[in-house]
Amino acid sequence: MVVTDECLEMIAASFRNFQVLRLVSCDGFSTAGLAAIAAGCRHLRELDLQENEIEDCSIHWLSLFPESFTSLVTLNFSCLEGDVNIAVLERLVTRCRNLKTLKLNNAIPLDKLASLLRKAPQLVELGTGKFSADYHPDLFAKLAAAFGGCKSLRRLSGAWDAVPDYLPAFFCVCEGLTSLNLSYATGALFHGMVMDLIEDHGLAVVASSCNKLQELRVFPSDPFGAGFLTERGLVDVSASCPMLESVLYFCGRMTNEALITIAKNRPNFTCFRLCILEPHTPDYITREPLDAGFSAIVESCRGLRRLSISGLLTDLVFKSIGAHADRLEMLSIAFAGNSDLGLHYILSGCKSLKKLEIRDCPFGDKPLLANAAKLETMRSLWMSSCLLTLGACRQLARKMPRLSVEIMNESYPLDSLPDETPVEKLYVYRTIAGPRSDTPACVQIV
Amino acid sequence: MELELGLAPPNYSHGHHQHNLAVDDELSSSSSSSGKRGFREAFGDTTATTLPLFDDGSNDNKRKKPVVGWPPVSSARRACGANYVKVKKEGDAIGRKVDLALHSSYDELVATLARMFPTNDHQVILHGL
Repeated sequence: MVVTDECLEMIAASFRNFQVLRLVSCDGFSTAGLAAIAAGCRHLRELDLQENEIEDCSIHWLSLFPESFTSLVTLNFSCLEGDVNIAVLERLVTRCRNLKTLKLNNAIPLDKLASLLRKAPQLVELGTGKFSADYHPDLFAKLAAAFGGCKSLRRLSGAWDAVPDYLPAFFCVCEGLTSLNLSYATGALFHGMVMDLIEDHGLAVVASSCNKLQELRVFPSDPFGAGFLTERGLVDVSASCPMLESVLYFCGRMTNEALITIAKNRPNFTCFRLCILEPHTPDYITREPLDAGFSAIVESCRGLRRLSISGLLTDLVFKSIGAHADRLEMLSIAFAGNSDLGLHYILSGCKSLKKLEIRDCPFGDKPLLANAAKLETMRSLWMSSCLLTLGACRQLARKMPRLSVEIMNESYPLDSLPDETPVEKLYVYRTIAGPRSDTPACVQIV
Repeated sequence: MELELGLAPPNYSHGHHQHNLAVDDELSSSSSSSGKRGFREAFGDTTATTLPLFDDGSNDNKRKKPVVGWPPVSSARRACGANYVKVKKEGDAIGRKVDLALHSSYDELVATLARMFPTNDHQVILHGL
């Protein structure tokens, strides 16, 4: 979403008691807009900037929180690329005694992290930012002591670039952690297996210390890099963390056996999102599709509400999902399936399905039209780079007046195009208000 | 037709033709998952597949053309692979960032810019970053 500095200035000027600003995946604004918020919102409790593109105007926006300002509970500026005045940040953190969530950006060095933690030992959630430095025993000791003082820390996120060296520094908080969100650096290819093992091992060590872990997210910081985690890390975590319910895991390879083991270990998963980096990757040992593994997940995890699948998959996996995933509400599919049957299994099964997003799968018009009524029981369907035609979408729109059928094709307007025209992106959702009037030029309602 | 024997590392051929199919020809995605070779792989668009004995892996990065929007990691997390260009519209104080790595043609870039700067007739100036 586009947000401008003018919007932020207007918010700051208009709403005396403005408390919570949360911007996710927005762009179009700068640190000047943040400065307006800091200066104007005297009762701000949450400033939560998640994954935005923020222009750096070299404005020291943090300095604009007045000295009398103490109401902050959440401060997340992890997506900010520029530098921040650390002395100002320290004073802000010191005087905001109710601060529970602090997520730093990459500009905060590790030693400053330690001093921030000492000033805010009451933190419940911490984003460490870069967390990378050459190993130094003094810094290690500072960090360990600082983490040691944070008795309430439950959620930890950040980069992992130097984790092997500094891991033990936050062992003391591991015991209480319920949520871990780490992005890991991928190593050079020539390190090969050893690097993989260290990465998996590092994760396993963390996991075995965090036995109250409920949620784990592990991202690659370089998704196009050659090194990556393997199935071993996830198997270990599933074995060590009995309360683990939610996983987001990016890795380079997987096996059916590992997935079957994971499913046996953790029938309590409610959210299982596995992203094998390379599309169409089979079981790396047997070279088979990963149908059996994901089938085991849906058969074992009866409470599964969210699932993302990846790797080489045939229509069979969709048969299992359709039949067994009774509580599944959200499903994400990419580069999977062989035929229309795959989509048909999903739309004719999955009793609780609300949101379905599909890209680059060989699913065509037939299952969509045959299961049109199902779409009215769902919140939305997204399909991109599949085998849909404009004609089928027109038919769907005619047949189902309570659905809004939106198409995004590079060439528009669509009215003049023939039925055979392939649909690049489709978004369908139910509505009782009729077609919306604020579509941007790239979106057309059929 | 020459017969070529080779032992390939895991995912050798997958990695190569998947990206071409996904990016260049969405309608053939079915052929890739059934294991049949797509048109491009059978008839020409393959880089020379020498025996892997001579392949030290240094070609891997060149061969991998990123698939748009995959893996599903937000651009904020992408440390490299992104190729950002700052775009400013005359009269607008705030520029927008465009990731050239996500565009495989000039037309796609123009379409993105048109979405970012909805307009009639303003000048759009590109600065390399």
